[in-house]
Amino acid sequence: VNRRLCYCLPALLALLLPTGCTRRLPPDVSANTENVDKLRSLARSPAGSGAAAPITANPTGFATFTGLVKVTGQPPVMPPVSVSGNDATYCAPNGRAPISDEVVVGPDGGLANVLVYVDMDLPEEWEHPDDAALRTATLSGPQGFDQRGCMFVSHVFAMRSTQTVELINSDGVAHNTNINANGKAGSSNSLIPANLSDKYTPGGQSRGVFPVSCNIHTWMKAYMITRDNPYFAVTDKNGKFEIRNVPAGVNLDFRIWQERVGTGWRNVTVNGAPAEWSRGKFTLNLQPNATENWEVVVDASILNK
Amino acid sequence: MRRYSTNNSERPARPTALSSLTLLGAAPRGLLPLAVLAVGSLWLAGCGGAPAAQFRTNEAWMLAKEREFAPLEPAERDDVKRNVKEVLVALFGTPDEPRFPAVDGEEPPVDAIKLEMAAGAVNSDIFGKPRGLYREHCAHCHGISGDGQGPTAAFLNPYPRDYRSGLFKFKSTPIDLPPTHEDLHRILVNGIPGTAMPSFRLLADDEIEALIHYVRYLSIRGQVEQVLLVDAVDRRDMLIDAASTSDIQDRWAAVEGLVSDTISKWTAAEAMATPVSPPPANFESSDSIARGRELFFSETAKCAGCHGRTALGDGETNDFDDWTKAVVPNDEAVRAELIALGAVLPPRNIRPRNLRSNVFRGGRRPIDLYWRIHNGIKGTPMPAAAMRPADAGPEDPRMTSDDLWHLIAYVRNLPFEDLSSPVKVQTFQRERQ
Repeated sequence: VNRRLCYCLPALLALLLPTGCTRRLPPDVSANTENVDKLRSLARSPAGSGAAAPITANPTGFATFTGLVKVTGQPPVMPPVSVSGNDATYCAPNGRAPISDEVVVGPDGGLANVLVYVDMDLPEEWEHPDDAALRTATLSGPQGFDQRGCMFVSHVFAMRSTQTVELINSDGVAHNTNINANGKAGSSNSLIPANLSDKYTPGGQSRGVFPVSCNIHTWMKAYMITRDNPYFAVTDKNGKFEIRNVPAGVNLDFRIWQERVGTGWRNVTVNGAPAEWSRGKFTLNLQPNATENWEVVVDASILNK
Repeated sequence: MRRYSTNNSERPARPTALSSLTLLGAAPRGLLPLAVLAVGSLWLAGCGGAPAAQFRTNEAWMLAKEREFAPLEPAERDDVKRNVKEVLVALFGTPDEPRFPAVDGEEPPVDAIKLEMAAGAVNSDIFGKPRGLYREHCAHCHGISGDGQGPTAAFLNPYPRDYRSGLFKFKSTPIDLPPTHEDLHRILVNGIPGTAMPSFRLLADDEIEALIHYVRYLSIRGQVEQVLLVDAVDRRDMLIDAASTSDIQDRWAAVEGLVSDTISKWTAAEAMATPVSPPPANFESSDSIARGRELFFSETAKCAGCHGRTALGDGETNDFDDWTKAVVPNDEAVRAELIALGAVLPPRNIRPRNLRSNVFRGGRRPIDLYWRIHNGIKGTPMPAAAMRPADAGPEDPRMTSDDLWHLIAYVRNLPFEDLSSPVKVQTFQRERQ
């Protein structure tokens, strides 16, 4: 028996040793040489017409797109944020910390902070004069990006990439508004002393939403998106949104996003009919001088982590 | 004497996992363990041998984006990864055969000859000039892909830089821009005090140059990869299956647009070093230091909020840097799973610098501190200082450039304060605990 063990032992060792090199992630994929060559031949061919697909139709007027995003069932209850650090007495007066605004549901089930936007690059000429006039406006005061009670007032904030926004600090303590942009939007991280403001000009369109935080108060969290066109909206505390002066008579690709849902919407109904939003995308062709009104209903379970 | 034998009548042969080993039973007895070992070591060689070096997919980033948007089906996932990899190989080649995409009207920030010098296996050319410099000097910490996960990475604190976000901390440019050539050169030549990053001062000038170009190459490649992976799980405008995509030309144009946007930021950064106004005449005088101290504890500069009332770096110690935040969520279960998968190293909190230790990672020259305080430190919680706008009056509480210099004077003096002697610091830390 001992002798058998003496044969087996090296065998077992030989079996055990290689397990040390196994990868826990699956092995990486490898590129197919033929495909790579094909792509390289594209690189050498004269440049194509450009990234955007050619636009064939012109809008026939303007429309309004309004809606209500509503959840049914019991939405997750948001806990207070965990406040720590030197400003704890200011940010959580009498030990009462602000409530997390990751999920905000109104009394009638309206879901706040849902972002709806046209996810296409469109010609500037399509813009309504009202929008064109505001192309390089500065968003300040109530339209600005405010920090109050050690929370961002706008949890989801959408703006035009060509505009400038005032970063307002309404608090008696300093905040650093850490804008961690993506795509062509610029990043910024500036300290804003108590009761002062700073300005942020994105300078380009972001790829999607990106996070904004304050590192002095690490619980503070918000999202921004910057768009070249003006066709976007964020649902208010009652779950309502409105996008005015949307080009009508053309197919527009929309996207819809919420922090917890991302773009993974499931079991959605729009005005009672089931809707399939793969990757949060839907397409609309609006009637000129009309209002398209949607009631979007989702089950509250979609908001669970 | 019994031995293993396939024709042993008492023990019929069974097809087991060990059956290949039992075949060796016919060999002379003494050789059997040796043969077994030989087979075992051959097997080992399959792991430790050197297949062609590959850039590894940024798996942690992809998983993060799937959590952010919507998870991919497992079958779809490998296809998407392969599609992205093929685009990356077409653009940037492989570690052994790197290439850099040409962009119309732009001086490429990566030179082909220097790239060749830094890339590939460690070697030398016919003139005895070194080749494979990156693998010789950098890859063991920063990894073949520049992911900061080389074999030694797990043993280092701080972890080596992951270049693939294109973010660098110690630089002269505004927060939104990549570092200049000079910035990377300074890091390579001086090293980073207080970290494992050594000085490469002893390398020849052209070797340091080659490495700067290679770091830029890995950064730009990594940035493009990140966007392609986001796109692959999100919008899919740039997802190309070379074998089947019909609008391949348009999609390729979008990819080229992305590459050109990424490169032009690096090119633009060269001329964007933040100008430094000259220090006031009383810089580093006792008045200057006193004014700096006042600012340090003020709500205007807010330094003490993170660096602590003691300046020992103990103010805010629960935050993470942007490299970590981008891939590791603030969720214990997911974090543990990512670590177990080997997708990330166990994340560590970012610590505000202990300003009493006289170790300044990004350099201790006044100008280095000026850039860091004025611009903030990219990828970290450190914000740009609140500077008084040109049109604001003297009642505006924000800092002037003279104020900034006084703050620098205070920070540079902190290590020499009586309190900063190691004995006193230890006592102080004990008291606070």
